[in-house]
Amino acid sequence: MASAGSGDEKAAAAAMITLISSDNEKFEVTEATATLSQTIRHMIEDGCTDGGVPLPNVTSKILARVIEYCKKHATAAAGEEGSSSSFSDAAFLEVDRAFLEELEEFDDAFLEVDRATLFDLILAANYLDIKGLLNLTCQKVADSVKGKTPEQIREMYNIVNDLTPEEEAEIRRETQWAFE
Amino acid sequence: MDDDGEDRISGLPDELLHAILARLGSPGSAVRTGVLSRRWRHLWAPQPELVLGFVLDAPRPPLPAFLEAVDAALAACAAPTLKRLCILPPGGGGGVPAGRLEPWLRFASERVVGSILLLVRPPPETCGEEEAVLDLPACEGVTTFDLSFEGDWRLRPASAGIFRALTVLRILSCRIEASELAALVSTHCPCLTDLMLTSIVLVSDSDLPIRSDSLRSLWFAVRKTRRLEIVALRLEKLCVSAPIHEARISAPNLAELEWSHPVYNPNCHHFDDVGCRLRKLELGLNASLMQQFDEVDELKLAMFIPEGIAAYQNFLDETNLPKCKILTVSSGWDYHGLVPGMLHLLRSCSSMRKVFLLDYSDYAMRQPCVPACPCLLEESNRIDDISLGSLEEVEITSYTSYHGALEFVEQLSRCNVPILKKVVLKQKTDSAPPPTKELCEKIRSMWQPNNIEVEYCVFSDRGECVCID
Repeated sequence: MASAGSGDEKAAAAAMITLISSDNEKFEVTEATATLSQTIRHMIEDGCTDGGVPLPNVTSKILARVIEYCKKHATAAAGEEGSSSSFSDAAFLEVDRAFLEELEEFDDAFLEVDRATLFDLILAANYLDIKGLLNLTCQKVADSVKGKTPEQIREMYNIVNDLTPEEEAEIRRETQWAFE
Repeated sequence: MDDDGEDRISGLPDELLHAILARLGSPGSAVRTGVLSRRWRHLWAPQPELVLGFVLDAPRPPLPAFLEAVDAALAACAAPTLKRLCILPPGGGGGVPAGRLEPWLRFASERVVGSILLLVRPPPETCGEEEAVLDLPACEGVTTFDLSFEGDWRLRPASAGIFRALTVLRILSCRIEASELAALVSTHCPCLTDLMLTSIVLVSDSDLPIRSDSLRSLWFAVRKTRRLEIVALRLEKLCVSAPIHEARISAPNLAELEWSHPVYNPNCHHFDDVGCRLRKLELGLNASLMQQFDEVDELKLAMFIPEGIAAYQNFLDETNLPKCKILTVSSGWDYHGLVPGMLHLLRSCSSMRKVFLLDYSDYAMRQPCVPACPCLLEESNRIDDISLGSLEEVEITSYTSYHGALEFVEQLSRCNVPILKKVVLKQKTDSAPPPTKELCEKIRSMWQPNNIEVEYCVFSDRGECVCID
């Protein structure tokens, strides 16, 4: 987990960055993987990554998952870039589709986590500004809420209803169409 | 459920909860989260508006750039819901394919909890023989929907989904399948109160059944309607301004009716379950429709009397006025029928309080009297059988020449009008001959003995009105 991806020649030749989790674990990743995070990309651009990048908001457990995501997507991005000139259109489309399918399968499997981890991933994706991961995890939460009644949502996410019955009735009245 | 029972989701910052709510895919789902807890009450609250248009007078952006700007603006919209979405693309530039519009409508269906205004520019010409079709998804949060088309479009409403919140729907200028329009109004819009269908053409000549328990106002200009059937318990206002071969209307609460299309035939157009009393009735050249009603507070009609005694007699037969309080008559170009026609209308209804005459007849263009001209008949100029015990105010507006107004006022001044208080004459500045003080004095003198206020004024094309003393 803690070592950099080794398959891609390009990536292996690239500069390595050390990420340090809140519990002080060090993760060495390629720049291509790290820069999926806009936050880290800006730090690299500002030249302040020597001696590692401390990420006080992200635990090692979550950072490992985030890096797993970034590695996969960085590889996919590199693959897409590399393929565009060397394949004919039809072959390119074929490869492209295969990449996308593989990526989708990866994402689905990646999201098979408990709720606590999901929220930690959302917060980490937000902090590290990783658009794809944020979109993926927020969509996962949204999908779990879709079609549920407020009672079901409260139960699912341990939300305590602190509205008085009068207040709740008033809200329902104001937005009646949504409750019919 | 999380083992520790902690409420992690409510602890997320607002922006992340917005991101989650924006991905629910339905504004109803977002709105329903408002009752989860106090933390959630206002999270879904809509952004006030997103207006994507071009500024008049400013250089128009090229169409492709505008389309991309709309896509980008919608993609960048982070608010879970939106109160008003307005998209007005510039014209020209090769047309807009349906494929570019559908994502906008999808966005609307997923986010808008208020009004949408969408101007659909013509489809690309390359479509050629193939018809341009725009699919309309059900937009559950939209309350007011304005959809205007240019060019030859067919609108295809989704067969599934409900416009739950929709109260006002205005569609302008497209083709639509009758069964799809009927389903849209009758089953997919349960709260619809105001429906305006303007310049709509059915895909083929068809029957159109409209059944709605919510509809209060219907503006109907749908061509190729073979048989229109309306069953609308709450309908109060109906305007029909397209030819319909056959109609059957059941609207027990109908209070205002405008039948501006000239074709009305009591054998084909049936008012089955409609009361005998209306607040307002506005008719074009189809006066016989008034026979359907006993009492109409405000009656507007166009008076058109073709030449010849038979046509005049026909007019007399068709226009026995229902009991009314306010009568507005706009008269056509025929000068000879004007005063006899007006006297006939006054004779047939003694309850009116106000009479408005909009006179378009042209004295200079009048034809000589034919042998049996209405204006020569003795009975058509009788005034001793006219009693206007309720009449308080008369207003005459002359657009072309004032001869008709003058003659009518002269006759009226000799009628029995015990409580008449005010006579207003309005004349257009460029009517012939031009308005003069002498004319004003002449009219005043007719009414002076009875202490009736006479107001005389001129108005211009721009509507400015100046009183002459």
